[in-house]
Amino acid sequence: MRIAALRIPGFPLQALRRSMPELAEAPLAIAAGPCARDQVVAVSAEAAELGVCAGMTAAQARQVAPEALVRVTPHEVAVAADEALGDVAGGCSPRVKRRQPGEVLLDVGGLQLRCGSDERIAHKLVRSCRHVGLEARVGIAGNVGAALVAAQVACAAAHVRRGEGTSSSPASCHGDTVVVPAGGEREFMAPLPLELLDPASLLAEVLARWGLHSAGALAALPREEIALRLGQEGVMLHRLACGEETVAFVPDPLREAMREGVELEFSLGDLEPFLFVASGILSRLTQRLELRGEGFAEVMLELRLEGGMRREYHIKLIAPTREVTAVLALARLQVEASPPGAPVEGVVAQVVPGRLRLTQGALFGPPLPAPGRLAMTLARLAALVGPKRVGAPAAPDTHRPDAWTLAPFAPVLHGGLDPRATEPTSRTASPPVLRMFRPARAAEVTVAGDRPVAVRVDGFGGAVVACAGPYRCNGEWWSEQPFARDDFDVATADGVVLRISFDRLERRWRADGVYD
Amino acid sequence: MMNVNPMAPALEGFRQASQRWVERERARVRLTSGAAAIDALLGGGWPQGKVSEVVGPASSGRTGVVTATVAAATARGEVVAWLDAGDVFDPTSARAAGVEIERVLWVRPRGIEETVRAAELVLETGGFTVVVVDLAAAAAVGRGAQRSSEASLRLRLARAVERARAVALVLVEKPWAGTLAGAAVVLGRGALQWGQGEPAGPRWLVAIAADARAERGGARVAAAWQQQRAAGA
Repeated sequence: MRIAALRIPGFPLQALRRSMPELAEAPLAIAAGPCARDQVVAVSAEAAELGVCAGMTAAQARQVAPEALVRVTPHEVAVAADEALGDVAGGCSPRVKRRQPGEVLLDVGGLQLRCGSDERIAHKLVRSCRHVGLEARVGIAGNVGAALVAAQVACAAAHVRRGEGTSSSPASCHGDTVVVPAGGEREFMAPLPLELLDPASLLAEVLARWGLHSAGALAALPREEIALRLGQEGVMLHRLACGEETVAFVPDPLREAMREGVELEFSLGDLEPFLFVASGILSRLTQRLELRGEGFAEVMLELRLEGGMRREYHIKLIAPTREVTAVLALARLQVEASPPGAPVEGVVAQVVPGRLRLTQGALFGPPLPAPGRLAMTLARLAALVGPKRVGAPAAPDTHRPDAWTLAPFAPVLHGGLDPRATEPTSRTASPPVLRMFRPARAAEVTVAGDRPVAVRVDGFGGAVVACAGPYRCNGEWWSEQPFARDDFDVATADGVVLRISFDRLERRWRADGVYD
Repeated sequence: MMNVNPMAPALEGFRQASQRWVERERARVRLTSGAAAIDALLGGGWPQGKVSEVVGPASSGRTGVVTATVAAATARGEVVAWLDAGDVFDPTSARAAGVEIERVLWVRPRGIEETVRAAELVLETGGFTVVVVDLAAAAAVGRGAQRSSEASLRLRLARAVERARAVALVLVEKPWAGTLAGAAVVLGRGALQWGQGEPAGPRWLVAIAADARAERGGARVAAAWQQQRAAGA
């Protein structure tokens, strides 16, 4: 087994900069909370140069460096960055485990055939993280513990490179990655300081009193004695120092939805600024969808409004697409048709991804509408005539006449031309076509025996000159709305051919349509 | 002294422009209506990039003509839009007539103005080779626009169709598009044909015959257009 650990150093800081790129060069310090006494948890290099360091309170940081920006990373922003990290891992391997915000594990065993060496896999992961706006450090080893330590070493090596000195380790260190060769975990761990193994504070105190400062020194001690003196916790630390497996790798179940959000510093009351913010969110989602080879199938825009209210807009696309402009245009139509009613303080977009449909148009195939433009047109038509008055005819599961409904118009837009279809038919005829009356119109019918002899509907009709029927049908007797009717096709003296029906339950005549 | 007609250059220019227009119309691509009789009337089919009218009273076969065109288009793998201003479209009989209804975009606007606007949106998208604008029931239920605004609606529709190079079939009871129509087929009611399987058994409507003539864009001849069920249906 080969496990890769992906770690984002200073995760709260990177998450905020990812959602607010304008802060990329700013001296930034991230506090744990909004209070002045909350501790600073992450500091940018620019703020560190001004004297701010992690562990200070927010008030102290402002005092030390008034020009530094002390911010709190909003929860939605952190969640989105963490999910982006998960998507990067998911794009490389289907077996992924989220450990904590900003840290993720993935099983890369077997990927060497596709990606090449472990070094190439590690570099690919770093590049993919950069693509979604995160700077990652990667460690690859034969078990979870060693991989996490390797990622820690990569983070520390980055600091060392910025300062002075080099790390001497048998693992291959390239840039932001550390790869421990298979079976070389113990040798890799030996020279490392015990702090990198992250022992509990009490345990670290005891080990320091014993004069143990490196993992190799701890690994040299007999395990039974460690168990007697330090208990299970000591045994786990000893196993880690020996480069052995300490915890099994159990991947997380696959998740389908993706989220990105942003908390706004100032409420937005106009449409254009809101669409600008939404565009940034959708662009970040597009970057994550690219890793999965998928597109937007459905987008749920959740707006947090002033006063604590929430408003949702559900955008469904007829075909998955990664075109942000198409999704934005549909969002504009929905928001214009139904404004939120209050200024917007926060926006979250949740996406249901869908596999992109790759269609290759045939050279001599029929012209077809582009999926993106068709989705836009359908949305505009729905805004013009109403969403329930646009679509493709769909037959429901019933024998009730004229029970047609409308389904989303999503024809299979494939190329290919049936040569036989281009030849004009020699027919001069087609089946009679009905034009329906919706709703059915009341008809005055004169009956002789059981057949109509005169029909009058809305001013036309007359004596019946020819009649076909009855065609009897009934159904849904088990439901609350059964039907039972006799249908007739009648030709009247004025030349009109009508479809009329007698409702046997309600005992009345109706005209259902006219043949044309 | 020679007499030179001062209007000669202008007349010559007008003659050449007319000649070019006639040649362009003759070269305009035609879309088959799906029926040989109607194609013969129209000189090959419906002209692309022009509004075409199908005119006639109820039970004259006008919807059958349009349905045959739509069936031919969907059989070729194309997508079609049916703008149903009166909410009269029947998918059951359309499917029986050969229409692949999954390839039909059914829009139910209210009134002529909304219908023309919907037609503009569909034509702007591109890819719809046939757009049916069913106004017969809209006029019948009194939702038609005023006469002055109808003229602008006709012009808007004609321009949208020309830009899209599509075929727009307008279903009406009386002529509507006027000079903007590239072709107009006028149908009149004809005889009915009934079938009966057994002597004492029920019978069914087999055929609706209609007399069709092209008023514009085709031969000025009459033809018999017959709507009938396929044998055994």
